[in-house]
Amino acid sequence: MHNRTYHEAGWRGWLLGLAMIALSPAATAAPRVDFGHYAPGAPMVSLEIDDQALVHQVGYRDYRAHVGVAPGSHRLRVRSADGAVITERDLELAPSDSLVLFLAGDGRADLPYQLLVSYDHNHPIEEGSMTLQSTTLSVVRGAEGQLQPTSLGTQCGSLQVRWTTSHFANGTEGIANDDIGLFGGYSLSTGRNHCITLLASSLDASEPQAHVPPSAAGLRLREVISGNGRDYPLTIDYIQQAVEQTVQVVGATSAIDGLWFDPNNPGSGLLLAHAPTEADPHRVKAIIYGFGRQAQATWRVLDGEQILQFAGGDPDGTRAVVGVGRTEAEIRFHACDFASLRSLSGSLIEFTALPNLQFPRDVILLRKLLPAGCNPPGVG
Amino acid sequence: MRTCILFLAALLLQVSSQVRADPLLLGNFAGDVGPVDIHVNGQRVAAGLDYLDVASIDQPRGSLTISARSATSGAELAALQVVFKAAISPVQPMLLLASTGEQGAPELWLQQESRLDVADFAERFPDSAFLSIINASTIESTESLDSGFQLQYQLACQRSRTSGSGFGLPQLEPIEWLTTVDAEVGSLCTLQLGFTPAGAFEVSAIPVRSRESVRFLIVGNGETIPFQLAVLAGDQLHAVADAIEVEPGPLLPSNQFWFDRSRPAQGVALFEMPGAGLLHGTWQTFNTSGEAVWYLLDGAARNLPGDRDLTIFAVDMEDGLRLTPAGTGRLTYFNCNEAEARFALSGQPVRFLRLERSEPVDQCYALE
Repeated sequence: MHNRTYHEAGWRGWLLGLAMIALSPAATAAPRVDFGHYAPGAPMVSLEIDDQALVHQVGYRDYRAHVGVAPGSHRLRVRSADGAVITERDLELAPSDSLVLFLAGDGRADLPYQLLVSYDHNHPIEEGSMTLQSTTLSVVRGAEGQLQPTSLGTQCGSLQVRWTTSHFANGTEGIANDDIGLFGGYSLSTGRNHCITLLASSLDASEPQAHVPPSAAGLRLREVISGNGRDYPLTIDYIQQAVEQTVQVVGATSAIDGLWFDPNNPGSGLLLAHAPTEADPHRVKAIIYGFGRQAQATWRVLDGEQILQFAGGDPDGTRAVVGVGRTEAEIRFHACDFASLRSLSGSLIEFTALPNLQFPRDVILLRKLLPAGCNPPGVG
Repeated sequence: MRTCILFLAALLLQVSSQVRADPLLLGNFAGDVGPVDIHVNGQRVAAGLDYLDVASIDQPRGSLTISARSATSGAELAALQVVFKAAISPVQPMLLLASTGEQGAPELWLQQESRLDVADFAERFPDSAFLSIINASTIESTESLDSGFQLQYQLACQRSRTSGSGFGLPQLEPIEWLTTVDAEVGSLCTLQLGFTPAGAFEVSAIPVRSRESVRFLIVGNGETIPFQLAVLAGDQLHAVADAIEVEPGPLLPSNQFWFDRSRPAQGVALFEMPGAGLLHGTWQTFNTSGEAVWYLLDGAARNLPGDRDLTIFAVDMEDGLRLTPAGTGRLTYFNCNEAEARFALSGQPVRFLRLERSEPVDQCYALE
């Protein structure tokens, strides 16, 4: 009887976007909004939401977690101590959102002070690893006033340095340019594979600064690069967001067969089936139930990593022509009823009710709806 | 006097360049006009070119009046006036007859220029070849996201790999690129091409040689002439690939997925609620326009064991997620692994599916 109630609730939840409360932590959680001041040269500020001040006296490199904002549409304003509005913007906040508002820019005409939104990535953290989300807000200018890139390198254990070069120059787009690092084997408990972050300005040829970020299995860490390389030196701030229970990665078996969905975005589903091959014993195939450009229901097939679109077929189902899709996706299973879906190339947003994988989140967390739990073998 | 000499020299140079002949490929890619003759400046230069035939001639440069005529009736099918120039890139000029005109009328088109034209091509790219995808089918490209079509391709050669996608490929306006060729052994390429709604194509072991053109031509109209991918390596027709059709067999191997062996391009996922006599499911099929569509199934047990009355719901995201009753159906289990489904969508003929479970089971909730 319990099963029946569960199934019906789940089914309706998938169909109507209701319920699924038990499965969806987002449905019960309030959004998380943090605020950080990383605009070199800007005065101390306060943050107002809908004309109500939330935080006061926030100076450069000051970070305030959980400022407390309810879901809905909001008008945000950043004011200096003398009451002048430095910058403002609108924000649409969903219950499941987790984000940071960064005050950034240097106040010049080509890079005014602005409030950027940076969504937390939601990768489940796999065993023995942590995640590092990097946001570059440095504003370094050359002698002529032109913006200069900041170089950022990461070296973990014996792994080679991965250099990225970026600078904050998003103008007024209002979206932070984030990078995400997933460090396998990066664990404080074992002392292995410590990571070093190297930071260098292109303004001079001096040795790059070396920073050692905190590390621990399950740590969800942000790093923020800020400064102007002159009166405000380039620097990295580390913000510990959470230490989470890590998840395992399990190989697919027929125990995962069934209907899966994203509780945060009901409407699209995946009918998953274990389809092993000799070369890949954990290969899966799936029918993806989604929607076309005119909002009509349509379906595609995920075969291994490639998503195939049908070019057409007849209503009798005797003939169909396959279209090779360029979209590629990967599913990692963490339990019989918990998986994460990530895009390898292309976008899923074209044909599903799922959010774009690149923004605001990088993975979609899937829960198994039917049948519940692990399938017993040989029973249907 | 000196001016006069220079003028005469220039005139001589122009005349000599006009009479110089270059190789010109001729191809018939218009599927429904029968064999054709090609006439250039009033002279027949090729006779009886069938569909997908390719010929090579030596053609003097200069102004050309070209016509394609039916080899049987002599009637003019298409005409073109064009200046035939010296090729400066690896594009080997080609005259195509394709059904790209209004309502599929045949058209002549001379491909002899390229956005990749480089005067000193041979010196700058000595080990490269020129490749192009050309839509010579009746499918017209549009900018509309609603009525357009999608093109996706992946080309993998021994040394290089490229891919792309987008909405549409205008007729006879090729996608072009250069690829590096191993000078000693040549290069072998594989092209996967998705051209919705024409279908998917795959051609492998395409020989690519240095300073030579490889053309991938999508041809056909999908009605009287099937959509095909013709591959020309140099002046040779290397392959003609048909659209890839779904292989017979279930779309998914799962004990929740049912299919009809004689109608394998659709399927049904069924979830019986243990002990409840309730059924939830999905049905993925194609509508009368040939578009992939899925429905939700909600079922309840009837008096007869193994029988389920079904309500079929259409789903859309017009204004948020919306369910609309679209028909009714009945499902009858014969045993744990065989069943019959009858789907009656409003205003459409009833569809019967003789279902079998794609992964048979020993026990099932359906007959409990």
